[in-house]
Amino acid sequence: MHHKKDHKKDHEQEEELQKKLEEMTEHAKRAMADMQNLKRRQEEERKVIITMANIDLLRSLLPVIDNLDRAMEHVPKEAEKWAEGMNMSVNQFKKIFQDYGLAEIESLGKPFNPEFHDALVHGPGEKDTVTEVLEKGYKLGDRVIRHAKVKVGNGENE
Amino acid sequence: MSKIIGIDLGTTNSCVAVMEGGEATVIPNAEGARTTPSVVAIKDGERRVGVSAKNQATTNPDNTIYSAKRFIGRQFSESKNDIEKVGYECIKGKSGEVEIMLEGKQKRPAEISAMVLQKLKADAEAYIGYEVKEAVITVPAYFNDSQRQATKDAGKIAGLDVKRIINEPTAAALAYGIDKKGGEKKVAVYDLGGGTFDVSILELGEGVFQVKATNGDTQLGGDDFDRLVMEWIIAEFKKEQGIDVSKDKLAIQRIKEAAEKAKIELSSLHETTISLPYLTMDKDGPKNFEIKMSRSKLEDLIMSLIEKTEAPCKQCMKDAGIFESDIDEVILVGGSTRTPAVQAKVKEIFGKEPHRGSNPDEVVALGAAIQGGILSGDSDVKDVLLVDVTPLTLGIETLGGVATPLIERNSAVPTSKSQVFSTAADNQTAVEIHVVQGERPMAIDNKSLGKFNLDGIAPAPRGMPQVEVTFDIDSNGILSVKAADKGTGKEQHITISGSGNLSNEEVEKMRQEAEKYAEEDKTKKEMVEFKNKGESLVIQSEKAIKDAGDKIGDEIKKPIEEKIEEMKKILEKKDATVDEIKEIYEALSSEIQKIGAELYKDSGANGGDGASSGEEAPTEDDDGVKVHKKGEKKEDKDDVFDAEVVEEEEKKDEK
Repeated sequence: MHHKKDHKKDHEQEEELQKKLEEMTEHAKRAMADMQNLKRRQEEERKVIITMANIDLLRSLLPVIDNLDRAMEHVPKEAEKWAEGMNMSVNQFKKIFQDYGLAEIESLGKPFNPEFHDALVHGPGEKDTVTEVLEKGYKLGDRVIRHAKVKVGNGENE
Repeated sequence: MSKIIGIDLGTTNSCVAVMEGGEATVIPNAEGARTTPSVVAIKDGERRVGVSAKNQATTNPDNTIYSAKRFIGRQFSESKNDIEKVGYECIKGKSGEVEIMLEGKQKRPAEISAMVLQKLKADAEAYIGYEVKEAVITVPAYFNDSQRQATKDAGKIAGLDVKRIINEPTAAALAYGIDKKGGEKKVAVYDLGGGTFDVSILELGEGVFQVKATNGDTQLGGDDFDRLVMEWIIAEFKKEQGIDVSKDKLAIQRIKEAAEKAKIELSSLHETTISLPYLTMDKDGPKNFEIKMSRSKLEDLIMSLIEKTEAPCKQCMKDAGIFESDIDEVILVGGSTRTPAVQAKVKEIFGKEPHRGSNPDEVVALGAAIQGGILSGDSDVKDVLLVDVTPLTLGIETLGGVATPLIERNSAVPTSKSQVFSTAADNQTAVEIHVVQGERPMAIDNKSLGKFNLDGIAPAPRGMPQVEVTFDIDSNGILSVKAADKGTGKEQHITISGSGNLSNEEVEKMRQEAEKYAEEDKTKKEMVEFKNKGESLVIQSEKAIKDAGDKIGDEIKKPIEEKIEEMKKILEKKDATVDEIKEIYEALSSEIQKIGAELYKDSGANGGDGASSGEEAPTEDDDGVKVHKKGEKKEDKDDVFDAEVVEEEEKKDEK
C-alpha cells in the first residue's frame, strides 16, 4: 500500500524520467540528423571526388605550364627545329592535363566575366571585353581552379 | 530542428562554420573556398559578392565596396582616415553616420555587410541542406555599442536572427576549449590578420569571458610582410639584370604570388627557391630570375614589422592591470601567426608557448559556431552521447606472449567485436584467455585486466577447434569478454569494469611508453614470431617423418632429424638471434621438401611439379593456419595456451 506522499514522489520521479527521455530523444535525433547529412554530403562528394582528388596537384603544376608556354613564345630562330620537338612534348604534357579534366578558360576577345576572369588592368580597348590575357585561367570540371588574369577594355580607343 | 551558424565577419575575408556531430566545422562556399572575400559589387543592376566581386574591382572601382567593416556603426567625422583610403564614395548620413554610395544610392555599411552575410547564409544552407535562420556573429573586442548594433542590423537585413554578438578573441578562446579547462584564467589573444593587428587580454571566471583590455594597430598585417618580400625580389632582380619591373603589372602579379608562396614555405622550410622564368624581356631576349631565400633573410625583412606588435601587447597588459607572469594561456589568430618568427615573438612577449593546432584563419568562425551550438543545445550531444572512446587498445594474449588487438584504441563505444582463435597443440582441451590493455605488441608490457580458462574442448588436432572470443564494451565502459567453443558450445566469460578507469596520466604514460619502446618491441615481436614459426616447423617435420614411415630412407631422414635437433637447440637458447633461427629454418625447410619429392617419385607420379610442397612440406600458411606458440611455458602441452587465428570473423555493431 502506498501512502499519499509516495504517490507524489512517484509522480515527481516519473516527470523527471519523462524529461530525461525527451532530452535523450532530442540528442538522438540531432545525432541522427548529423549523420544523415554527413552521408548525403559524402554521396555528393563521392561523385566529384575523382576529378577533385587531383585539384591540389594540378593547381601546383599550373605555373610550370605557364613557364613552358612562355618558353615557347621565346624560341630563338636558330633553334626552330629543336623547338618543334619541344612543342610536341609540351602539347603531350597538356594533353595529360586535359585527360584529367583540366580545361583552359577561354578569355581573349570574350566578354569579361568575373566568375572566370580576374581583371588586373582596365584600359583602352573594346568595352567590357578581355583585350589581353596576362595569365591563363583553368577549370577542373565546373570548378575554377585558377582565374585567368586579364586586361579589360574600357571603351576608349587604343 | 534548426542550427545556429557561426560567422566571422571580417574586414577582408569572412568565414562561416557550424556544429556537426558535436564538432565545429568550416563550411566551404559555392566556389569551394573556406573563406569568402568581404567584397560586394553592383554593375548594371547585377550584384556580386565574394571572389567574383573582387575580380572585377579594377573595372568597376566606384561600385565595388570592400572593408565596409571599417565603417559599420561609425560616424563620418571619426572615419576620415579610412574614407580617404577606399576607392568608392562615402558620404555623411542624416545623423552624421558614414554612408556608402552604391550605384548612385546611399547605403548604410550594415546593408553592405548584409549582402556578404546573405551569401554566407546561402552557402551554409546549401551545405547543411535546410534553411538557416539564426546566427552568432563575431566583432572585434574594441567595437562600441553602435558598431555592435549595426552588425546585428546587418544580420537582420540578411534574414538572420542574430542570437548573439560575441568578441573575436572570445570566439578564438572557445574554439580552443579554454573555457572547459575550469578555474579562473587570464588569456592573451594575439590576432595578426592580413591588414590589421589586435591584441586582447581576456579573463575567464565561472565559464564567462570578460575582455579586460584591447590594443592593436589597424594598419599592420601579413600583407605588409608580402610587400616587403616583393620589394626585395624587385631590388634583387634590378641588381642582377638592371631592369626595373615595378611598373610591369604582370611581372608584379607573378612576383606577388611568388613572394606569398616563399613566405608560406619558409614557415616550414629553412630555405626555398624563388623561380621566375621569363619574368620580363629586353632587346636581348627574355630574362629569367631565380634566387634562394633563407628563413633568416625573410626574418631580416619583416622583423621590424613584427617588433611593432610588441608595444601594443605591453600596453594591453598594462591596461588590464596584469603582468606577463599572470597570463595562463596564449592564443594565435590570423594567417600571419603561422610565421615562426611571429610565434617566437609572441612567446617572448607573453613568456608562454602559444596554443597551436587550429587553423588560425578559421578559429574565430569555429568559436562562433561553438557558441551557436551552446545556444541551441547542440554542443552537449557529444558529451552525452558520443564522446566516449576507448583510450587504449584491448586484446588478448596469444601464442608467444603476443598481444593480439580486438578493439583498437580510439574506437567509439559502445562497440563489440569477435574473432576466432584455435589451439596450438594436438588434443589441447583448455585455453586461457588473458585480457590485456595497451599499445605494446607484447602482452607482458601491457596492463593485465584479467584472465579465465575455457576448458572441455574436445580433443582434436591443433588448429581444428574454433574458439570465438567476443569483446563487448557497453556505454558505461564496462568490458565483457566471452570465449565460446563452437564445437561443444561451451562458453566462459568475464566482466571487467575497470577498463575505463585509467586516469588521463596513466593513459598518456602508456602511450608514451609504447612510442618510446616501439623499435625494441618490434624486434621482440619479430623474434617471437620467428620462434613460433620455428617450433611449428619442428612439429610439422616430425609429423612428416612419422607419416612417411619407411617410405623414405635414412639418407633423407637423417639430415632432417639433425636439423630438427639443431632447431630445437637454438629455440631453447636464450640469446639466439633472429638470423640464427632464420638460417636453420631455411635449411630445414629445404631438407623437408625432399620427403615430398621422394614420396611422389615412389608413387610414380611424373615430376610432381609443385605438388611436392603441397601437403607434406611445411609452409608458413599450412592449412591457412598461422601457428603461434607461447614461448616461456613449460613442456606440459595441455596447459600450453594456444590461440591462433584460423579465420577472421569480424562483427562490429554499434548499439
